[in-house]
Amino acid sequence: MRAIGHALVITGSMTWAITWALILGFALSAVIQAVVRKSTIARLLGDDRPRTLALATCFGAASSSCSYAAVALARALFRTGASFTAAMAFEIASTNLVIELGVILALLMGWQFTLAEFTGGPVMIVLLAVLFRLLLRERLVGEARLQAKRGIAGSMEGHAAMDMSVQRPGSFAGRLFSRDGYTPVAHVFVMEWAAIIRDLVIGLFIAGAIAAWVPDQFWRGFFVPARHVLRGDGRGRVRRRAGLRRPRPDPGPGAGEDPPTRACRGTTPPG
Amino acid sequence: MSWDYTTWLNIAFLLFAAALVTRFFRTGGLAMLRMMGGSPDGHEHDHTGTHASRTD
Repeated sequence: MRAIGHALVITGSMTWAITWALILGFALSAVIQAVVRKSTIARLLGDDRPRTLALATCFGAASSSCSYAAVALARALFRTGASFTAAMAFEIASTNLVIELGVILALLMGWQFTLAEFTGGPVMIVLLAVLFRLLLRERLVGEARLQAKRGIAGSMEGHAAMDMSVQRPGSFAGRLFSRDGYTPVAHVFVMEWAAIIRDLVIGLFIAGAIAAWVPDQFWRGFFVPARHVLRGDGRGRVRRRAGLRRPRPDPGPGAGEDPPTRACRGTTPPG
Repeated sequence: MSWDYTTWLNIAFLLFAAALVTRFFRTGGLAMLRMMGGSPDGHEHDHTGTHASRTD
């Protein structure tokens, strides 16, 4: 009972630490989704040039972070004229370049993890584009288009199909701050929360349980089991060395703990 | 709970979120929630019409 209470306390602490960041992230995403129409996105993603893929990445990062909705939305974009590669770039960006996740990573684990998220996502998209350029054939794209047009319903299809954006013409700011702007932002904001709230709550409980019940020694062993040294030996081989550890200066309180635990104990280093 | 910057930010953003949630439910959001996981057919234009007619 006491162990469960401890896990719940850590879950509560983590939830409290990330609440404002989550709301900020969802609000930013809602603002962009409410102002940029899906038809505009589909029109701009008609080919697989680098500029188009960069646009697809930006739109994806600003769109729904619910992976079900991201898949359904990418399919909808593909069906309405977007290039297959751009639609896939959009989908990968939707689930790997998530604004709210970036803010949470910065808060709980440090800005380096946010940087890793926003560096790794574009790397994945570049690799995808290169691989598609080399391997994807027109016949395969045609088959994918036929499959997409069958419209087999998956999860969150209704969510992905809703265009909640402001329909009046005008600039980004003009539409956002118009009389019609507030309602679509509220709609997208709540719908985004509704789409991921279950996964979010489950994730927080799991994180709390792990932080409370798994001893710190496990994480030390798990993350630093050995020091892998990559060293060329002149014959093209890579030698793996294990067990080499240098003596380190006193790392201070909280060092060696997993980041969520450190954050909950208030010993996360600034930045 | 201490009154640090997280507390103040949480209060401010929770108030902001409450305002958005209130707006959502006052402008037909509940029906939208019900069709979230459903079929995409016929949904696309419903909500734009809702926005146009329910602004105050």
